[in-house]
Amino acid sequence: MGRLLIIPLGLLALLGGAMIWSGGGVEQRAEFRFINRGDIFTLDINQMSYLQDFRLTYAIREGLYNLDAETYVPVPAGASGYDLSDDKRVWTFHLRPEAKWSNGDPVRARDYEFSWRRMLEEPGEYTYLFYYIKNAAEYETSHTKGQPIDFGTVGIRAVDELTFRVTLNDPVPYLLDLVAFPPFYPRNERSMEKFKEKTPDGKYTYRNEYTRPPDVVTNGPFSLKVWDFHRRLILQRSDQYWDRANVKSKSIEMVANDNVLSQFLLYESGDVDWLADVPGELAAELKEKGRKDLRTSPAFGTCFLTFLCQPTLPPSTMAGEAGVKNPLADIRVRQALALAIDKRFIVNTITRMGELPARTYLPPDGTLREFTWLSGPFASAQKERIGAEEFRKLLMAPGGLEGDGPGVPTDFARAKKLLAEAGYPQGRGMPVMPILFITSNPTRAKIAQVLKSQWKANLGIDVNVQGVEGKIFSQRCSKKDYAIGIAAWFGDYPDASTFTDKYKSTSLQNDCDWIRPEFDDLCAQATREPDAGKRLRLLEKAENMIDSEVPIVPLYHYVNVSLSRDNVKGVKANPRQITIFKGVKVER
Amino acid sequence: MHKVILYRLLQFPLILAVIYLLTFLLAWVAPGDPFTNERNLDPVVRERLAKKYHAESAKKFLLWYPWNIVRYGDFGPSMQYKEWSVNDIVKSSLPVSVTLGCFALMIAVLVGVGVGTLAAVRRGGALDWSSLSITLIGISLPSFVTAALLLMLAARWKWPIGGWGGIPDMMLPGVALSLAPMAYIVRLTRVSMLDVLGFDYVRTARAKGLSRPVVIWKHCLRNAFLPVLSYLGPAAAVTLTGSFVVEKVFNIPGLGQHFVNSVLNRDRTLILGVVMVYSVFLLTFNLLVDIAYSWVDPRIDISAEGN
Repeated sequence: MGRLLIIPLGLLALLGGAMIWSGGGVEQRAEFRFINRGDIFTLDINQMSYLQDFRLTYAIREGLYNLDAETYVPVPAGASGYDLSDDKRVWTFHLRPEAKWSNGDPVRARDYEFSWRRMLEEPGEYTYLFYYIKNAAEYETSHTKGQPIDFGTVGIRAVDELTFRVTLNDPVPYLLDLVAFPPFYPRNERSMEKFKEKTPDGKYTYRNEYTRPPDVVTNGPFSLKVWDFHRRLILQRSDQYWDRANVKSKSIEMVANDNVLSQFLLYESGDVDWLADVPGELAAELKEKGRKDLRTSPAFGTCFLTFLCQPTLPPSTMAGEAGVKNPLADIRVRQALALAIDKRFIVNTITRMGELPARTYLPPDGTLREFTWLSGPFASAQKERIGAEEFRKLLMAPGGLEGDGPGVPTDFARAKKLLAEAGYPQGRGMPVMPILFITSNPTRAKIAQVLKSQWKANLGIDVNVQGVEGKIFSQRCSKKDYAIGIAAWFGDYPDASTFTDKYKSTSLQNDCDWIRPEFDDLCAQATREPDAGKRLRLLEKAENMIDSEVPIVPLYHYVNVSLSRDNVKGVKANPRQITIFKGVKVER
Repeated sequence: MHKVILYRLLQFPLILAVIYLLTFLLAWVAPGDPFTNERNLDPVVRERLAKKYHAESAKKFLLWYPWNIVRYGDFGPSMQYKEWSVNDIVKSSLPVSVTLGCFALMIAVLVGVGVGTLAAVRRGGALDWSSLSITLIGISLPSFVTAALLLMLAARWKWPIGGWGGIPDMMLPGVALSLAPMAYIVRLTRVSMLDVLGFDYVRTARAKGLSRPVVIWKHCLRNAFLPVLSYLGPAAAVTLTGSFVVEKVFNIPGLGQHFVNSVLNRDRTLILGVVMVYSVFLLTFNLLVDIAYSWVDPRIDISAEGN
């Protein structure tokens, strides 16, 4: 019978061995612990595109300018100042001589040049932001083809050790905000040398491992000490950082945890100081309970319906039938569908976080300081322009969605009339189109249901709902293989063009295939316009075109929600979800 | 016996090659690709990424990848977690899953066999009925319910909530993971024990004057354990490679979560990596079980020459 005991004994031995192998080890608690929106996908600046990756990068790196922790306007960081030429096209940055890398090397102009050049030679999702720079797009294209033009002709130049000159095609008033954005941060070439590789086509690349400790070299307030895959990242105050006196925490830990219940319980037990993003359902529940530590702020982002504006519907949306006429190509149908949505119902019963119902594509969240909104297509033209503050009040007021104002209002009678004019009285003759949405997003699944019932009740139109995986959704939208989709857009930098550029005819992000030369023209004029005020007026007209012609129907403007106790200083919900970790401190 | 083991080992590469090919085909025909993001990618950027990850065409990938595995033992970089190679990911997460799985398996075997035996011996008694109802719950309640319930209890009792480090972290997920195999083992043991208890040799042993516990321990359990043993092979492969649900609920950095996440991310290299690891576990444990069979009961001849 002794033989039978071998099995449990064997398991016991395996358990002991595995425990040593898996190397637990409990370390000292970091001064500040937080849970990010999700686990890190990459810390390589070239390939970065997710909020959680940017957020962590703000802690370990910095650019020529940085955002202020209170006001979120650019303040000198890697540079101590700049000179701007009279035509507003040549920016000369003066680097801070005391700025150092975490390995002690001084941060020099060539580090910026190297990093920016790499964005063009190994393009990533945000390379398009460099196209403002003279000859940058040309250099990228020619380099991809294998016959690069002289890099000396590109407007990126390390003039001397401490002078970095950027020459632009057009004036870019928000350039300081751009250089505060991670794709524009410098990199330490020497520390990456070890990871350099030749690709089969004769170009070079760097293996992403260069971003992992102990090899990673950064120039921010914190340096990356530990990165355990899917467990945690531990950051330590950098003793080389030029402004270390103002870095308030000694160590920061990002806990990887993607389970909502377990995240919340960790926060409740005090194990974690900050839940950076609270998902919709939990947030709404906590809000109902009146939790004081639930912090919200309007977001620089909008949830909207996207319409395919091509003349025919893709066969996949019509059960394989090709060549079905697309009713959405008619502006009256699009407007009718927009007029017939009760957006207040969506924010009051589905999202429930105090979101503003939307009349316009651009959110009046306060990020765009001088921007104003023009009256919509059905307004009796009482007022030409409305500022953000006043617009917010209008959206919150009773009747604020139904009456005059920017964008398309809620008006069922007018919707029915427009639909009849377009040749679909009471919705007769309208093909049954599917509303595409991402299944893993419960809010959008509910919105799809609500839209289906509202359009049926208000217009007599039948639609289907079709949930798909996130990747499939993105792929179908980009291939214009859908009819109606529930999508969203968040601005990257505080300028209206981060929204309007999406719908230029040449834009990769124009999922509607809405092509309007007038709109392109307005955007192009704005790009060339040196006067900031005149430029904004052009962009306002462009945004008004989107709101009036309805390639998209804005549904609501997002809010950002986070959880932090009162003793946690330096983190707060803000429109662009920016965290300046320098000032973060837990008072115990 | 040795011949059989050798024969089985020779089959391994062939079976693995077939699994590899099938997984590869499925991963490749699935719509969507690893580089699709919320933002539409510039074709130039996509091409560059595809080159970097040797994923321009199925043919290229099919040629490059197995060569890389066989020659360097390298599953290549993950296409989603760009800083980490599949080897890195498996190296950091497999030990965690194996530790937790061992622990769960121990609970399942010890409690399962113990309760199953007692239930059979005291057939129709209170213990038998309560074991029946508990196993029924164990089998029919999905693990996301039991795991979440345990997590809420943990929060109430101030136990560690999720994460990985010391032995206390292992308790609740271990219990959650053990419930399903435990319930199974209880039923298997009970049924085969009842069978064995009715055999003539058991009566003979009792008539010889041996005490009941000795008969059960020495004579019955060995035979009654055989069905449990054959269940243990696949059960070990499943528990040791981690469970998606339990790992997700308790936030354990194990391998289980990658079975689902890698597919959602269309992370083709990671999909192949975890499937191959799982297959190796499954094959190995099935072989081990066969060997253990003849170890527990030398009359069993796994080469089946007796037939």
